[in-house]
Amino acid sequence: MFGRLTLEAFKHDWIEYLAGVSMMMGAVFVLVLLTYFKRWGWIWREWLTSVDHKKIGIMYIVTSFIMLVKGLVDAIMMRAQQALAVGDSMGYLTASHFQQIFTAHGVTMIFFVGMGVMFGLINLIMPLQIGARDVAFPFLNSLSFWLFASGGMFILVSLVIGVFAGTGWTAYPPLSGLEYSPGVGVDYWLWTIQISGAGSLLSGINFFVTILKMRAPGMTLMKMPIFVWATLTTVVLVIFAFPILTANLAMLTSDRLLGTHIFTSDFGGNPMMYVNLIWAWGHPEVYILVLPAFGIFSEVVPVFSHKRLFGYPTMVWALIAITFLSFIVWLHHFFTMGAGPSVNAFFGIMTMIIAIPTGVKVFNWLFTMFRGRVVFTTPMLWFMGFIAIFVIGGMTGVLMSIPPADFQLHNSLFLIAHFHSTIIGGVLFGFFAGYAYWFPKFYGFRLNETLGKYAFWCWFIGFLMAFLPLYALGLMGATRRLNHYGETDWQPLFIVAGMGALLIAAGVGFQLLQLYVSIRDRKDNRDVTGDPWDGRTLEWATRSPPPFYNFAVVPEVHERDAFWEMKKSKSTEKPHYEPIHMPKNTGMGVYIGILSFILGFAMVWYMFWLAALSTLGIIICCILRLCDKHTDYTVSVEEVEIIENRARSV
Amino acid sequence: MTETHHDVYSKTIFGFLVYLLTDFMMFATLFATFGVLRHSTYGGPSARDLFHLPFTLTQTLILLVSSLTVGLGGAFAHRQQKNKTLILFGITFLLGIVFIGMEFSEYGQLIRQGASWKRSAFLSAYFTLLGTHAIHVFLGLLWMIVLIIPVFLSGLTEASVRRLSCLRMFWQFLNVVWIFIFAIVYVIGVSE
Repeated sequence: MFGRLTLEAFKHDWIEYLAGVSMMMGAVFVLVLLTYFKRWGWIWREWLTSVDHKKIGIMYIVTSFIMLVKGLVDAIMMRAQQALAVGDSMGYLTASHFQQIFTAHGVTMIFFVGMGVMFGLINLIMPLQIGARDVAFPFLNSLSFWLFASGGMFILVSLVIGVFAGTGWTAYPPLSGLEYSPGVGVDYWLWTIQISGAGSLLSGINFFVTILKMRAPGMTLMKMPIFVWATLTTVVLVIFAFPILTANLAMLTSDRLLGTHIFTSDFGGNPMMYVNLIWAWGHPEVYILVLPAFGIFSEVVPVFSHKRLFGYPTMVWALIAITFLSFIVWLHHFFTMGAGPSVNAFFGIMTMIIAIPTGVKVFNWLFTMFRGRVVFTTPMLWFMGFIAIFVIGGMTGVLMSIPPADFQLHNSLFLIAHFHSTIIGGVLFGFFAGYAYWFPKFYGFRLNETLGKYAFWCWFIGFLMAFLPLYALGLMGATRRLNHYGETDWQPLFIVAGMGALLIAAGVGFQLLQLYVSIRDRKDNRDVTGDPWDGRTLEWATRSPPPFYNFAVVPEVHERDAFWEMKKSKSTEKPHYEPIHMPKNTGMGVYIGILSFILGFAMVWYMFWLAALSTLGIIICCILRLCDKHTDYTVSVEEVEIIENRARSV
Repeated sequence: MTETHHDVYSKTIFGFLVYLLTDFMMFATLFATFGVLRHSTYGGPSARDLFHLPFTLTQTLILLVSSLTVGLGGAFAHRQQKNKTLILFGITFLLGIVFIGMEFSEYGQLIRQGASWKRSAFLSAYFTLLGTHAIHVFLGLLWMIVLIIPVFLSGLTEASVRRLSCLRMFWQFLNVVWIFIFAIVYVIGVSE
């Protein structure tokens, strides 16, 4: 009946209990709040079942913030362990718990923070920037979010029921095969990524069609804002890379579940094929994370430098070049496989070449600032921090692309420091810049600048403290994922790194405080114009927060900075409204998300009857959705007029 | 109003094409894995020992005929000719059933010979690739039932024509994948 799920699965050590209990208390707290304020109907109607791209975007970002806190706690636990476990001391974590923490940290940060914040921002901004009323397939968008959320649930559930994988976030076989990882950990990992990956793939298709089919009249490809270009190249990567991941994970699942021998080390299987495939997805994946961040900076820098973006066409071509090149560098993740000098040389050179378009972008941003009237708001601080840290990350990347150097640095803490430089310095700093920049668009008031700057400095200095020691440790020979080391000379550097992690946590604390203070003082920070920063692109042309249909009249675009041009030629013509088609909310995304979670959970614990039932449920939901003839409605001209007039009079 | 319906049609068809592209990438991954593992027989039977080209050629021809019928069915759907649409999709459905029946009889035969997916990496890769194709065909058949019944009951609507067009593209895509399977797995496998 319950497969291999027994009471044994609930037994943990006290640290794991503590994590599980605090997580459940958080959940109970939210449920109590909802009940106390009688907001159940509201949250169901206005949020959970919404197909509005703006609300879905906000739900992505809220989910990612929760996961960011969880991933950060993982990081601090690892740092604490490594600060303590030297010489005779074994630290406070068991080896198996430590393995789970570093695996969960990686999965959480890549899939549920990096992907989550970027897909959230793309959802929020991209349709507004192209002058569209929603994405191409609004229901699919809601479904994508719910698959993402149910994928994330597995990581949280594994805190309480069973264990998570202890294989590292890429779970190489044969270690992740049934022989060496017989427990449920790897299965949790597989279903987490398989289900949230399906959501990402659907989002990719959705955004791709949205950009190519739904731009405002007059917006040719070379007139699109750079963030839209960044989104377009990102989703091209999603479309080509994620199916590889899906197939690869399916094959590993079948090795574990059906007894095939694709990646096993006996019966002729080839574990290195898995490693090739995971990086054939994994390398484009890092660009899936960072290209939107490049797009954000390309929006932020011109606005706060009061100049148009320097070198727009080269920015576009750099994005396209990166998109292409990112598919032919995957082997640099495992030069040590021993593919031979010619293969390693090819991938090494391709990796170096990727630095060229990236360098073009960095110089373009700097030239945009050159002789501009630069205002150092929080988004600009994040940008400056990004330049400093990302350039360090990029240059250490080029250093490691030289195969002989990589043989020394492979899987050392130097590598860890390198990719955290690019992912924190690039992806997270980019998101935080975008968060401060676009927040007023969706809430109608600005975030508190002072606290934002405190948060930035904590993050920036915390980052340097946490990761510069790791570069040094890596060069001294410290490898990644050590739960204990004998070399007492390393301990001071590990302690500094741990303090850096605490400083980053303080940064997150300031961000939460900033959110609270900004909401409390929202009357002082209110933005009534819809254009608080003197913006250049179409999202600022509508008011803040935008009406559910985004634009009462679809704008017409003549130039690259469309809104900038509109502001210069202010027309006083009375707007001519037309009826607007909008999609209806539906709970089907939630249902399919929940059923997918049950399906994954049942497969993890070998409850095959439940898996069959939930698959059937998913198919029935899809059929019901197909049969639903009332999926959209029309907002009449009179209604649009009433909404617009009311907004104008406020 | 017609403008928006046209938009929905072109967005859906384009989106579905992009979906097929992603599915193609998935099959490409499985083909690559098969390519890497095709000689890893681990002392077990090889492609030459197991496969009979005439049988697979028959399957291929059945699928090619179904390509024709599903294409015609889609064309008739666009012309609002309900009965012809129903007949042609019906024939496609039957051909699909025959194909999948042959597929499973082949699997059964292999397993009875002791050449199951547990025997060697080569057979694992073979069953994964072919199994994924078979699951797709199975879902295609299920989808055909779901789409055909409303057409039978209430005629060809805007939505049903659009969905039949997607189904037609899906079916043609599966046939293209099968051609690759036939060429790479069977013809090259047997002649190697």
